[in-house]
Amino acid sequence: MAAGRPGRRSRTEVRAVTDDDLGRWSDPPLLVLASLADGPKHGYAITQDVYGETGVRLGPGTLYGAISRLEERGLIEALPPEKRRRPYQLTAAGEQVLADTAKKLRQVADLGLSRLSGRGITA
Amino acid sequence: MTAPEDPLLVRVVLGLYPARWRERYGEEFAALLSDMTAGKSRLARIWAITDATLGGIDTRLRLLRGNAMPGRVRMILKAAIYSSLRAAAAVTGIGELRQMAYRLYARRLRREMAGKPLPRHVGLIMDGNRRWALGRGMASASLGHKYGAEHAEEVLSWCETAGIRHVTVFMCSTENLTSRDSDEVAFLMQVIEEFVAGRLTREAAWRVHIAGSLDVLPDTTARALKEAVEVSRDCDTGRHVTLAVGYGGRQEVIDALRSLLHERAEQGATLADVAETITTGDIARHLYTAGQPDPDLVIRTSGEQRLSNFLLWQSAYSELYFCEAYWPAFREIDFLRALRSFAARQRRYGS
Repeated sequence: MAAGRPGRRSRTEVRAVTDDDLGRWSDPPLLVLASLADGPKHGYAITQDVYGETGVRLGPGTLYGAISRLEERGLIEALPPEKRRRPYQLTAAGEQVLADTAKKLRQVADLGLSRLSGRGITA
Repeated sequence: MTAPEDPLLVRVVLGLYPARWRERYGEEFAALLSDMTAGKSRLARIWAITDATLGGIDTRLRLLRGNAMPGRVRMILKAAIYSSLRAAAAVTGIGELRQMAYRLYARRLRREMAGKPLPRHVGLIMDGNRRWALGRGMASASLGHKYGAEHAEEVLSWCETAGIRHVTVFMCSTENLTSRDSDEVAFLMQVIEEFVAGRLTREAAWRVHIAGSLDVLPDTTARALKEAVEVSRDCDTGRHVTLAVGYGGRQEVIDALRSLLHERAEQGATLADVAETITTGDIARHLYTAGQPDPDLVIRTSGEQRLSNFLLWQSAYSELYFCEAYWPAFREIDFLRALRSFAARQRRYGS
């Protein structure tokens, strides 16, 4: 059926576009900010939380790439380690950035959803 | 940075990251990697290692060029690393991959050691053989001694590679001879006899010396030890191994004093003369280890932090290194770490 639909991209093409161009929507730093929004967490807890809530698996290298960049920019801060696991928490600046970004994303989401529902498609 | 209990793969992967990054994030990253790989499926582990490897490359590139690699390059690289790891795991099996990782890590440690001070004399307290055997579910704890002796051959070859010229191995204390049951002592003696008649003397890489009182040992053992000393007398490699068998440090000091007193008595000296003139050098000359440098480094395995009467006199200024692993499980990388730790210490000789 899908193959009959005109103009449909092949599966591999779609995936390439999603990862490359739309990848920012599941940006690891954003996921980390969102995960820390309800309280401090250490690395492993962040990966578990993000996977449980969004189905995105953050690998160790990806996670720490995000953590180190967020820390550099002052959006999150490290707390004293518990045993060897160090929890992180949002800074005021981090909360602001997360709120702004989430607001923008919501505008886009609302726009997309409302126009789709105008055509009788529900998400 | 990483704790000894971290799996090898964690330490190897961490090595991909820049040193400065490791200082800040190494410990927590190692903990995370352990959490994400321990007990997980093979594919999950390969996925986590791939991601961590890519993260290391990314971090180094960002330091070098100031920006991350482009998304498409990253994807290609990720696919390449993942497929190579999977293919490697399929071809060689995880066990051999671990071996490869182990060799890489050992090589890094050796490179770090190059040009650093090396101990001239290393003392080894090979502790934990019995506990190791029990932990492995072996029928008898004594069997641990056999594996322990085989392992001693291995460790001697590491010393050889590292360029250490003097090694003393604590194989059996006087206390072992009296406090263990007779079957176990008999087995241990047999193990020692086989040890000295085996690779040690066959390969002639080491000149053998004995520390201990031979008269407390069974005849066959005493004879085997004397024979090993004889056979290796002409060994000209410059490497000396001292086997401490039936050895006790206090007994050694008493024996040394006794021998010194006899010597001076033969020369016609009175006790008062000896008391007047005796020096530490006089005692050292009469120890079992006379003529050898004092140990710079003493390594004890199995987590016990005692010297237990080992080289009591000679270890006055030795650096001590304790390792959690039982002796048969003491790995070359543990040994190299002990050497690295030695190189990093400032020796003060009591001053």
